[in-house]
Amino acid sequence: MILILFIVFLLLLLLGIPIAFSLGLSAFVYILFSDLPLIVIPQKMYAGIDVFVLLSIPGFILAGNLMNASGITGRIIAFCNAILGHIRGGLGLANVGASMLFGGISGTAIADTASIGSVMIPAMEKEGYDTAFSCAVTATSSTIGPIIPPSLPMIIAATLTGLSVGKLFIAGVIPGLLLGMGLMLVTYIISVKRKYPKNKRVPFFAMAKSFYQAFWAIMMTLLILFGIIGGVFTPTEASIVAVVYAIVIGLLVYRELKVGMLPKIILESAKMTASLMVLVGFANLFAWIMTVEEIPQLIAESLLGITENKFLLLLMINILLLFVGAFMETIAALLILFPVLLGVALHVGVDPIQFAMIMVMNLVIGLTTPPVGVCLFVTSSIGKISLEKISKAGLPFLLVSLLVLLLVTYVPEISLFLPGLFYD
Amino acid sequence: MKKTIEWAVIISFILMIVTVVIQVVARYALPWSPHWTEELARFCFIYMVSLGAGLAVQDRSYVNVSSILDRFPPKGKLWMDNLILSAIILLMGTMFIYSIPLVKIVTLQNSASLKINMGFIYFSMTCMGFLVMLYAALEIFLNLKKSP
Repeated sequence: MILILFIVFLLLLLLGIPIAFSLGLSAFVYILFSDLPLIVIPQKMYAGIDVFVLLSIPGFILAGNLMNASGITGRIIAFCNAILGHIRGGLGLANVGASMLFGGISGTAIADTASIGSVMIPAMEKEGYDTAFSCAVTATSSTIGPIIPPSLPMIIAATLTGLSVGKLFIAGVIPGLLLGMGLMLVTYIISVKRKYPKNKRVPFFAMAKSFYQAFWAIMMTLLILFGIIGGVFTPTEASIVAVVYAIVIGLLVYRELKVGMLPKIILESAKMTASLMVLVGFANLFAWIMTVEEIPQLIAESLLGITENKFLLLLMINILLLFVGAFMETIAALLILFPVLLGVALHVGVDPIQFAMIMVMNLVIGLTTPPVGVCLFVTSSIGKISLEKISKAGLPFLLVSLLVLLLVTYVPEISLFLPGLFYD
Repeated sequence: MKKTIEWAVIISFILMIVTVVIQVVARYALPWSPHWTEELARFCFIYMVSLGAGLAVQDRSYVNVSSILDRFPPKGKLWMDNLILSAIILLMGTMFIYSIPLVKIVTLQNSASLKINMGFIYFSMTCMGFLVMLYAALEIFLNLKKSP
């Protein structure tokens, strides 16, 4: 009986039906075969999106889009270039640095790839960097975005399980920094080997000026983070405060945002939110059926039946998630799998905050795993170069990402130190 | 009609922002804070999503796994697209039809703090079903026009 649900889901997914509707349709078919009433479809859809924390998603999306329209991308890149440009492979390092700062603004990896890539890839090509290398740096470094707060996947993970969004956000800081430094190291080593150019050291005054230009963007991340940690506002309120902040900075400080642009930006953000929320709603329906059928318990039991060894279990989960992450959108995969796998993780004594971190890292690394990683696709269309070449160039970066993932998986303190410091 | 929906979406979004701003400001600057802000913001959000869901079909904002789909020749791809859109119509049509009895059931309740009839809020699901269906049908129509 329950097999119908999964087989239909996978079939529809492979046919290319959007994930949201694949979930909905497979639930629909299941309901037809069982004696459940069809009225649960609108009911569970409504219940899935009637959650106050979810309001932070349109907030962060809109704040990110507003900052982008204010010309923030160029300013952040200029700032990173001013600091890192004089080192060998400076532009590549600046690319990673910009992704780290930008991650504090946009919250999704694909948005990072697209906006940083469209500026950085041509610029790196012009200075003589290999195109495949430039694309690989851009794609892999953009995965830092969803780990450094604010992060949409973390909000979703929190909504699913009742974990604190603030704790999850702060837990992402160290893993995000580690990943950033790891990728910078690889960039540096490759750049030295291939003798990629370095720029002249930027005079102190110009550096200070570029810092001032990027300052307001960096402040937004800090405002969100410390506002939530300090208990000044809830995550939803923080996202809306970020919107107001972005409007003020865009209109009055950077002056590149015009009031006339606002309706279009709001509408675009709303549509992006709507497509995400339909996904959340249908995932809620799907998850409800799984609960009725006691699937999470079944999966947990069969996983625990293989082994109760924490080390091996986490390894198995990592491999599964990397595979899923390579095929499926991060938030969709999180919605389906997080509640199921969390039970297993809790059983062997993994902290839920750490597990959320493991899960999100796995899924975003999947975004850059060949053959279907979405971020690779985005850079390949910007750089006009084949996916195979980028994948090859991205291999050292992927290995470092996996290394950081292993650290996060087996050293709980990396994720739990900061939340413990601020909350307990 | 598209313009009307677009503006409705924009206004719900702005109203949501304003409501949450009131909530924050009231907590720190006013001696009392209104108890209805969270509920109103949530309702604006739900309507924004429901009305925007149809527009998102037109924008192709829904993510899918396209690795197999991309191997199809252009003509086959167009037909697959029609098939996918029809499947969406089937699902959202069911949601549209079954949201009506649901609305009838919940009209007996009022929301906790604003005392709005819940039937009105659940009606958003009817709108979502209808609009997604409408825009999916429109896309099929455009596809058919493209291929003679």
